[in-house]
Amino acid sequence: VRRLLAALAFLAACATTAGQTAINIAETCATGAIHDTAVSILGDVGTALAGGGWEAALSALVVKFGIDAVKCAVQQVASDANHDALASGDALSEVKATHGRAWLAEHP
Amino acid sequence: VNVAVVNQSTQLSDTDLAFYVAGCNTFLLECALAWGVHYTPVSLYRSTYDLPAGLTRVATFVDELPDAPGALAFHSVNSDGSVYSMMRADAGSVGLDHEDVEELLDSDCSKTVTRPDGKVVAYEIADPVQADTRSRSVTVLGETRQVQQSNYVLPSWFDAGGKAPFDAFGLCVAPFEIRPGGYCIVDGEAVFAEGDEIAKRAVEAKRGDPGSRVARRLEVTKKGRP
Repeated sequence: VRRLLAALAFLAACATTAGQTAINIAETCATGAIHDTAVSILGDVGTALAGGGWEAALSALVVKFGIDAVKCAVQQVASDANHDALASGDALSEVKATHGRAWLAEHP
Repeated sequence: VNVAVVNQSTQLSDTDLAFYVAGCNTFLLECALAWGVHYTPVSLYRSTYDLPAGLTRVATFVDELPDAPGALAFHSVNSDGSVYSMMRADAGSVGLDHEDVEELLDSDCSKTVTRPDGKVVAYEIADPVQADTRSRSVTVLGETRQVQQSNYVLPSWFDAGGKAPFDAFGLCVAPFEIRPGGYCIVDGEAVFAEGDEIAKRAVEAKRGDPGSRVARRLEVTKKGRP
C-alpha cells in the first residue's frame, strides 16, 4: 500500500510537471510485449538514472528497446526511487527520482 | 546507502530478479519498522560501474561461489572496508532477504547480546529461523507473482524475559530458540537445533571465506572478546 501511494504521488507530480503523462501505467505498461521488455530492463534503467551520463544512457536504451518500454521502466524505477528516498533519505534514490521525473517531463 | 543488486548469473533472469528486489524492499521496510531501525532500500542495477562512489553496498547474484563452496550466500568485506554480498542464483529471493535483513541490523557484524547464563550470542536476525519461508504477492508494472520471503527474529527473541511474538512468522515459542534448519553463533561456536546435520553442513560451507559473516561472528562472539 505504501508503494502504491508513493507511485500515485510520484505520477501526480509528473502530471503536474508535464501536464499529463502520455503512458497510462495501468494499461500500456501492464501487459504484452512492452510490459515484458520494461520489466526486463529495470536494471538497465536503474543504472542509467543513477549515473552521471543519465540522459545519454536513457537515449541509448530508447534506441535499443523502444520509447514505450523505456518510459514504463523509467516510471517504475523513478517511482520506487521516490518512495525509497522518502522512506530512507537515501541520496542515490533521490538522484534517480529527480532524473526520472525530469526525463518523463521531457518525454510526455 | 542503497544496496545495489546486480545480476551476474546466467541462470537467473533480470525479470525474476526485478520481482525479488521489489519483494525484498517491502520485506526490509517491514523489518525496519519492527526493529525501529533505519530502512536501507534495495535497487536493481545492470552494473555498478557508473554509480557514485560511497553510496552503495553491492549484492551480486552469481552461478557459483568458489570462495564458499556449498554455501548459498555470504557477506564479506573488501580491503577498503566496504561490505558486499554474493548469492548463488538458486538462493533466490530468500537469499537476498536473508543477507540484506542482517545487514540492516548490523552491517559490520560487531553486535552481540549476552544471555543471562553469560554466553555471548551473535546479533544475526535471520540465521535462527533461516529455513522458514512463506510466499508474498509482489506486483511490478501490473504483473503479480508469488515470491518467497525469509523469516527473521524480533527484538524479543534476544531478551530472556521477552514475550511472543519472537519472530516475524510467529513460529518460535521462546527467546533464543533455534528453528529446524537454522543456527546461531554462541561463544564462537555455531549452535543448531538438535540433530540438525543439514544446517550444520551449510554453516561449515560458509566458514571458507574469512571475511564472511559466519567467520567474523565465530571470532567476535568468542569469550573474552568485546
